[in-house]
Amino acid sequence: MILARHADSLLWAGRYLERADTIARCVSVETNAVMHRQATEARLASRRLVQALGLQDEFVAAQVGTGPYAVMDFLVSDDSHPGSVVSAVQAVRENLRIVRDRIPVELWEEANSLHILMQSAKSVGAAAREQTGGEVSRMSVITARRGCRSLSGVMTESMSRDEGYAFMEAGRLLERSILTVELLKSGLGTGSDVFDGNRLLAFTHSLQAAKRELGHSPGWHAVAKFLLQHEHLPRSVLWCLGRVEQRLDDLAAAAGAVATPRRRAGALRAHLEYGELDQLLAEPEAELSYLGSSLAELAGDVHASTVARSGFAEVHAQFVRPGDGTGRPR
Amino acid sequence: MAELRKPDAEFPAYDEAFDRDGSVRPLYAAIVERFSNFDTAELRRREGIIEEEFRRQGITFTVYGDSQGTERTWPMDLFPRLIAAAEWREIERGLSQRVTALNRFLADIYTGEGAAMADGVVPAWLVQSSDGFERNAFGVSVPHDAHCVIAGIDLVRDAEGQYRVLEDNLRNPSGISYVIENRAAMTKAFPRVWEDHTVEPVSQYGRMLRTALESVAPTGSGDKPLIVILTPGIYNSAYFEHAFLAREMGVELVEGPDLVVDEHVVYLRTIEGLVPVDVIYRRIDDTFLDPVSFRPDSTLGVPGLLGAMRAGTVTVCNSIGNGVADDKAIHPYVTDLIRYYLGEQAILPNVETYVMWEPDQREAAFDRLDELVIKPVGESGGYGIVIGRDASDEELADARAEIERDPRNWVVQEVVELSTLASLCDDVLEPRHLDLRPFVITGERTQVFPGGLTRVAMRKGSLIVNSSQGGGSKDTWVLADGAHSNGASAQDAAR
Repeated sequence: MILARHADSLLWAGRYLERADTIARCVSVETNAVMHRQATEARLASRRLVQALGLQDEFVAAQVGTGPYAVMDFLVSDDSHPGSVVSAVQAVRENLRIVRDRIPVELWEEANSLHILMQSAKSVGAAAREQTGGEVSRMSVITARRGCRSLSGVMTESMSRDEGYAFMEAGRLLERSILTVELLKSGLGTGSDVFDGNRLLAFTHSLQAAKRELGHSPGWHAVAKFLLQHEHLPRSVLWCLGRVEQRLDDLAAAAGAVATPRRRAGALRAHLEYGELDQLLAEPEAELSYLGSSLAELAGDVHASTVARSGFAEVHAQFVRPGDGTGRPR
Repeated sequence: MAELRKPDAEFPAYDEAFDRDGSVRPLYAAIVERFSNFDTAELRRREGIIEEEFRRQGITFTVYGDSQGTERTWPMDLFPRLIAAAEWREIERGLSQRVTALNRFLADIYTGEGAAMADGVVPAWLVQSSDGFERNAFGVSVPHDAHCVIAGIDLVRDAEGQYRVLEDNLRNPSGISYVIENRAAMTKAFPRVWEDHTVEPVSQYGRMLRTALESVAPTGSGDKPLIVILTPGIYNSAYFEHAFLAREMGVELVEGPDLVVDEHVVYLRTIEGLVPVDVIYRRIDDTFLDPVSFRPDSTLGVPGLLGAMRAGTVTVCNSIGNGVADDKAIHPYVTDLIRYYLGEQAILPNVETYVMWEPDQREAAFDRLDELVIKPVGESGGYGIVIGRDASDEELADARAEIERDPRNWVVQEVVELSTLASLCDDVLEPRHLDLRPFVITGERTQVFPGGLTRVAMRKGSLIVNSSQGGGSKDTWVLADGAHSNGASAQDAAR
């Protein structure tokens, strides 16, 4: 048995955990690349990353400076918008705090410790952070990545496979799929000469696996196929959808309300599993938009399933990415 | 070595660790020996371990109105408080007796015939004029008459070392989680002090409370009643404790909107639909509990809850209306209530308290207000108290005028020189005043949890121990029988 409100918090804890992990990883990849790029080119690439993460509005509002580390700082330590690593970690902590009584003590402690560490970096102040040549944010990224790995480890190894786990894992995998599709989109239209498949694979934590299968300089199509359709790679959208479907199956016995997201997840999985991707990707933009919006709707359906049966009047709004459809960021 | 200061010989308070002549009491011999082998840096290092432990786990409390952010790390002093086995047995008997009588009193008021009032043990007008008196509680019965399942009784020790009851807390006493976490932190920071002592464990609280809550479930709940803890939410000052207790007992932690009442049955909103609830351990004040019957603007409560309580489909613990029995104005009558209901002498005496609506007592008190403590009956957390000897003539005159205007609202107590114990302040272990809040659990029977929360005033000379006003806490050890002072060797001591 799980409270509807607790299911909701765990779903969002999973989504924010994945978001914090992915942004931190992307920033880490990007920071290494910045050092070897021309300033303008580096800035352009960073802006594309900002766009892929769905943060362009926040980026404009934050009036981010032009220094080489300003974008990184915006993505990591700036808590004035909900899309940074520090904000995502805080949201993980707040959501887990709500379910503190039902999760393993270690999971809460890891989240709390990570939050405390991230807050201390934030307290340094933006100007001072820039002066350190991005050092503070770089350290925060290392801290965040390590913290997310521990959280993930505790979650996998200690959480009972109950409804709470099902929601948290579904949240993580849906967020991962959504981000993967958005990152793939950001690689479109950059032209094959500029397209950097390795960068995209590194963003999605798939570079090593891809090197074995695709060689060293894969084109966009190969990367897209790899990230969308791979059967055994936990970063691929197909793999994630398979797992989401399993988790929804686990929940089905208890919660009739998951029927809708279950159907949608199955249909989307079948689309990727049995669809001719070469044909689908003939119009990549349309296909990715379709996948992006379908995943967003699926995430919305799972979220709605935590409230449907119990008739919650008010669903507390969390930060929803563009395309997620159901609301605007707080 | 860190300096361990003894209390001044002419200081009137009882010191827990040292005799009047300055020699260490046998109870504290081993612990004083160990601590006097630590240097200040070492004590600070271990204090750091404790603080880090609390910070990492997010063991915090909230001070309302504090602009500095909401959560503060729980303050714990590292020098423990010890209670000998025989001494504890006496306290245990006294507390058990007191809470049993208070539960009888509550049952008498709300579901009985008001016998104590009819027989003149307590004036009926006093009961009815209490802020805690709740007409809505009439007819709401609780299995085993356990109106107060969880009580926290504040004890102080006077200059002779006698334990006295300062206050009863029968509504929502908090602090038990800190008792258990203090022990865990102490174990981490001083892994070897336990070699010298056999201490009663504190880890069984969750089981003890759950058993008590199960025993008050309405008849027909089955052998595994559904218990929930009702919290105001994560911004409440004691949220950590609510989550802690839910975890320790293995029950759901819910907020008002998670519950719904239909046809006088309380249900939990789950993803499976509505599931009926048997017992609610609520950590919300009476007035917020049900917007239909109490404050209509409350968003924390559950509409219709009172109806369900009346229908007997759910037990709410502690029950409503308990505030009448822990009213500071009722406190002076508790000794008589014990005699009346149980036919026994009170084992634990009260702090001497004078009621201001009795003209004789009021006049006698006015003659020596500067030697007494003046307390408003409706306040808690140490607020509104005037300590006569520290007050200016003007403050005393104001207090006097206030009392004359509304005598029902004030009590006056003898000053109790709270006992002292060494505490780490400014790199020195110095005596500081403390009190003790043991917890008493009532279900099928009444049980006292070993030890309790020792609160300590970290400011020199201060008698205000509340954590919201800069007080700290101490791990409190009840020693097992015949087990104090195993006698650590000197070279072994600095561990």
